[in-house]
Amino acid sequence: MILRELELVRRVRWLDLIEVLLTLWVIAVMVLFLVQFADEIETGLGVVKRALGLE
Amino acid sequence: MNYGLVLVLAALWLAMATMAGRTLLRIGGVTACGRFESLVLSVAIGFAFGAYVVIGFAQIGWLSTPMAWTVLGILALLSIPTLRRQRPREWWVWVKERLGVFRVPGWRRWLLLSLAAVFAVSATLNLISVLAPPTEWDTLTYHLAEPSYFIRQGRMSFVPYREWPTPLTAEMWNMVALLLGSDRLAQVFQWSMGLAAAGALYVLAAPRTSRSVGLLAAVVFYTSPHVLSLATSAKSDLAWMTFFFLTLHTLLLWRERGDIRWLWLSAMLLGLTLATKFQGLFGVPAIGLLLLFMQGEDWKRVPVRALGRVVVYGIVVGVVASPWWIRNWVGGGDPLWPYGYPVFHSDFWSQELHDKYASWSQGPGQGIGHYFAGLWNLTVNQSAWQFGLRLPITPVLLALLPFVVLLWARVSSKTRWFFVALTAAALVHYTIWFETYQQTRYLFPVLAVLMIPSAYAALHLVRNTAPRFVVGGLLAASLVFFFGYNIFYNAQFVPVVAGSESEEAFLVRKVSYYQDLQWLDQNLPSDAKVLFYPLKTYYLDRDFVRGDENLWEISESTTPEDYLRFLRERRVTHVFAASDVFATHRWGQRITSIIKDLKSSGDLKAVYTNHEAIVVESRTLAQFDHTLVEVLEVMPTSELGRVG
Repeated sequence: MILRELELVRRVRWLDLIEVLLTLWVIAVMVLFLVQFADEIETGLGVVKRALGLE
Repeated sequence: MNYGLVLVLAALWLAMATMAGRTLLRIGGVTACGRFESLVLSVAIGFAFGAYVVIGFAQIGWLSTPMAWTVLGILALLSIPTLRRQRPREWWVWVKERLGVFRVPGWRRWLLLSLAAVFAVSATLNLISVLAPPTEWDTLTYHLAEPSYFIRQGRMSFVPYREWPTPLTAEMWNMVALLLGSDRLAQVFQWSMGLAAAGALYVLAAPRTSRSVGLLAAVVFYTSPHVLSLATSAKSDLAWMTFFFLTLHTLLLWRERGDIRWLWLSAMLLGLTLATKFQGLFGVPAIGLLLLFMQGEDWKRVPVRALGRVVVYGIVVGVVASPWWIRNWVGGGDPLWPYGYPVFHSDFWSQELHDKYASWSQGPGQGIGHYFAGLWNLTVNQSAWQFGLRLPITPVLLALLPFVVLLWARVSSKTRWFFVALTAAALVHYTIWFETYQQTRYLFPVLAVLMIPSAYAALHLVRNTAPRFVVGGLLAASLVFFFGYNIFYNAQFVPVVAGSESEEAFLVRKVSYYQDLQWLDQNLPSDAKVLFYPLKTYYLDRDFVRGDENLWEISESTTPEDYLRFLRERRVTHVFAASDVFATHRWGQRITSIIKDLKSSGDLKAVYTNHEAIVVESRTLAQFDHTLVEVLEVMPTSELGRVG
């Protein structure tokens, strides 16, 4: 779909797979990035929760 | 100095420098550019001009408060022609027109407003933080320590401590601030260069892509933790990046506008890049490659002229950068001291030290696999780096750069050429950086320019394609993460700026040996000279000589008599001995043993001992350790001979 929208291809169905793969790529990069900072994010969220009186 | 006065002085100096820069650009015939572009260029040229005036005065030994005001006077005189041409109404119209960029329909309006808000809040938080006393490590080691030392000495000189021979163009503004009596002012000056760097990135991107792309790239850049740490210190990196982005911009303008004056301005800006940091050299081959490529047909049609341009470009770059290179050449026999050791066999350095530092690396490795995995390691594999997860780098780069290839058919020819030029320059810059010790901060100019195609891909995908929610989510998550990082990082400075924490308590928590340094400043005679083994000398308000390995001929065979002779030859009156430094110093054990002998013989006398001296390991995470610090007085010459 993405490739058709970009007018790179018009008829090849299997290229839909590439769109799925690229979408997964973006998700994977973001997840891998955030996982690196899981401890820091947890600490940050803890501070926010305490500030809001939720913890 | 109170905060209001600091901000007023900063605004006055920067306004004068900017208007002086505008006048200089007009004198050089550089007028055909947009108002924001003109503003950013004027800031850069005015900042550089002010610094070079300070260099001139400092070289003749005039380092005093009247000198600082004289520099302001010169800037003010140069500002007059620009000031007379200003029409406030035109500025108002321009601002209203700029604000018109937000009058777009639908979600794009909210996106642009959000980006502007994130930028404004981050810049404001950073401004609050620079009003706190300086605590950043390199700032205390040389960005402020060196100007402070020169002021105390009454002249600027070559000092062979490893970090000190770095070019100091941006630090000349730190010198002005210290002469005016405020180290916070120095931090505000460098903070303003953070805005200039973001502005320069916008100016580089917007005319060749779109305003939205320029804004997104500038915001992602400015909210990056690397830029955050620089914009809250007195470091010179942001001035370096400003000059580098504008070098690229003006070089491209030469081709786009067909006016040779942009080429010469680009040469001057590249010279300023080199005159701000040695690492500016990483960008020289990249710019050189672009210059050669951009001459295109000229190499066939008018080869002599084409070659002449390259030669003159190089001469202009060299002349602008030369003050610092000459200083190092005269003082240390090496314009790039000590990095030019293989060629110049620098004074005060050795093959052994060269080999030691050349083998340093912070990166995960230097193999071919590491080369191609660079962006991966930088963004999602940061634990592979020597110092781990200190400053995250945005994943937007890694995630979205591949999409630029898919979007290529949609990219206009103007933008295509721009992306090709950026990518080629970034690749060359990256390759050179990869061969050095891989300090991530020194790659930031490359990461910043790559944010432009990434921002282009992001906005195109969000606007036009099916996975818009995934890409939008990536952008939002990334910005929220970095915005949160900014808030938590800056929070450490708020209490002291707000007055709820005393400066003394703040500095004790953030600066190693601060209490011990205070004791030195309050108890040593004003003519004392301290042998100081740690690197961060800024808060030491006495003459000193550092205990760097290259300056003290210590080895296993050094005797207490030798050591005492060294101390007396260099007129050292006191030794600042910190156990934690000796634990990592190459000859630390030997020096500890010698000091013990000299204490026993009465040639050194402990006048201060602190078993609980504080060594800060992370100022942000408030991690610290305790160590033993002693201040030892060197007993008078008449005592010589008692050793042994």
